[in-house]
Amino acid sequence: MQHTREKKSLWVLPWKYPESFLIGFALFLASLGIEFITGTKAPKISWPANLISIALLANVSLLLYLLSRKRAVFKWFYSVPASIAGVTLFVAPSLLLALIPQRPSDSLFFLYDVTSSWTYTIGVVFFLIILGTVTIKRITKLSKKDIGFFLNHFGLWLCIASAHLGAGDIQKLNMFLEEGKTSWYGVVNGNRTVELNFAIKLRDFSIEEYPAKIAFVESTSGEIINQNNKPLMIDPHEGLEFSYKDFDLKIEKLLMSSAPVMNRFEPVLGMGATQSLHILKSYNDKVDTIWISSPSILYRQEMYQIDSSTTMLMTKPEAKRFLSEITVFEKAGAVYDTIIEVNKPIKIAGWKIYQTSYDESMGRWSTKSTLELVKDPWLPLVYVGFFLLIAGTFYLIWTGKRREDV
Amino acid sequence: MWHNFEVFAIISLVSWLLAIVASLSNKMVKTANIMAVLGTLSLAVFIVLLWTNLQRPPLRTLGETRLWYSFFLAISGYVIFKRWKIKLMLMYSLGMAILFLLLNYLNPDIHSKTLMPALQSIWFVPHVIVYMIAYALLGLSALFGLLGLNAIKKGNLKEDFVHKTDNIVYIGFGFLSLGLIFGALWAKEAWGHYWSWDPKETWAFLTWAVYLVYIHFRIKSNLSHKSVFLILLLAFVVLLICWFGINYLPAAQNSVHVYSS
Repeated sequence: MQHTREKKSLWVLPWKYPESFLIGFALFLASLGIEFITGTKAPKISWPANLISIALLANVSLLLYLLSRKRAVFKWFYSVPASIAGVTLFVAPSLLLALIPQRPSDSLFFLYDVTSSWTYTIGVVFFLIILGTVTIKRITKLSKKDIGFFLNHFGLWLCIASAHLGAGDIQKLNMFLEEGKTSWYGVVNGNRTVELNFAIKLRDFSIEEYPAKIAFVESTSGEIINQNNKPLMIDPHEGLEFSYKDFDLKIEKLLMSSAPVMNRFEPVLGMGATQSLHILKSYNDKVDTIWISSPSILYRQEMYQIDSSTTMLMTKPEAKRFLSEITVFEKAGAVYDTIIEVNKPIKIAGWKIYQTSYDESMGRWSTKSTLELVKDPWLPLVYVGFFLLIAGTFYLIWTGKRREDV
Repeated sequence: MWHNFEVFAIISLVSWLLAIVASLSNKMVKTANIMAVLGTLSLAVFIVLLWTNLQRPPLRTLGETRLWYSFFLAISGYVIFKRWKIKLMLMYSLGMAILFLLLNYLNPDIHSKTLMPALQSIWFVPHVIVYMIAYALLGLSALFGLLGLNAIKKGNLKEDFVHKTDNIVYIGFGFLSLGLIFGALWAKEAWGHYWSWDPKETWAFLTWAVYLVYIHFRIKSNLSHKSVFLILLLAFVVLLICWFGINYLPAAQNSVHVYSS
């Protein structure tokens, strides 16, 4: 297939790639100009200015489409070259973001604080106008085969528009809880407090652990011994039988929370309790009883010297769940118990609440828990955008590239 | 429950291997179909048994997630093969599915090797799977790019080949979009926001955008086929930076996606 390349003077209609990239570049320069003249970041708009802006953007696209029926120049806005210029201008700041470490800055926002810069904002606005116009153009003659097009383009528009313009309405608070105490306020940016319409009492913060591994280490260096190029470690469970050299070992008991009593371990729940293993070691019909334990903030770690150069021990356990058991008191009167854990946020009175942190120096004995509260009123719109896009994507995967598109 | 694993795994492994071998021959397509389905069914039965036995979705350990990798890779590869007749994708997907099953088979340790809390999410498996498929398809498109450049040199480039390349990009781009969205949905549950310009996110977005530009260029432009294939290769370079490269970028040192040992 040979393309015939016609020579066309610049700015003669219809505008193609050179004009499109020049327009994109001019907008980029203009954004830098605005940044240098005003010395400010782009304004972050919130309710209701953002709603008005979204309506305005949609109307600009509509207007451009209507004008395109009268004046040929406006046809450019839904042309493919304009789309590519739009994507490029939208993405170019992200490239800077991807290459330059971001930091708080007083100037050169387009380099160091990209997402607050005029360059980024103008890129988004330009992109949305083009994308909106393209979508409207296609809706006007929507046929069955355009469904994928509509889902993808409108889905993306909705997603980008509500994510960017809605960003100003996102509220984020931290709640610092202590066991046994009730709190009804959140902290913004580490200083300002905000009263909430519910209160949370932290009943218990806990970390559930996986059983700590048994490791065989070199007594002098403390290095874990390798066997077949793999560290010699074992995931314990009760009844597990394994062997080391000529010794046969069997796990009699696995205590997830225990403390040393005389020369053995007993289940306890108090501060400093640690995991321990009761192991039977047999060698030439002689049976020994061994206790080993994980490191603890309170007790000495029990290890076992299995031969002259090797020690068997329990490693530090890994966390399975971080969870805060809480009681919620809503202003409307509802009182209930619930649990918040990593990856399982809960919803209270319009806030989505996440387990974020705890007193790490105390580990599983932490009596403090930090929650993050997020309110994002635009989230449903972003999600509608996501789901339109997902549907459009399945359509794309299924239909591929249609011949008539070529 | 895992002690029955060998039986099901061996049925799947053998069936899938046979499917790959059979797919090499045009005469044995039917066998390839039957074997691919049989292997997948066997694994499906095992997952159902494991699920009922554990009385929770098997998603909490490394071994469990690998079962899902195998399962969904096999299904996706098979569907892509049925729809688009791309044999290479069937071989790749079944090959990867076999690899993950073998890892489970040879390393029983990982059956119970546990995942950190942030990874214990229903989004983990779909997020990883769609990226594995997207990267494979886009890798394939880059290969087509090289073949295309070679064909141009020899002067025997066929229009059908270019269309096939575009098609692979479309499907790969579809999976790339899904990966991005699944990641965003997961991030919202785990970190409170669906997009936080984590370096991996930024690069994934750039990768997505370059393919987006490619797709639009192919709809209308005067670009020669040579430039088109070159753009495809450039896009793949961006993808590779996103995949491995960011580990070395100064802007990416605090990424939650930097894979450390």
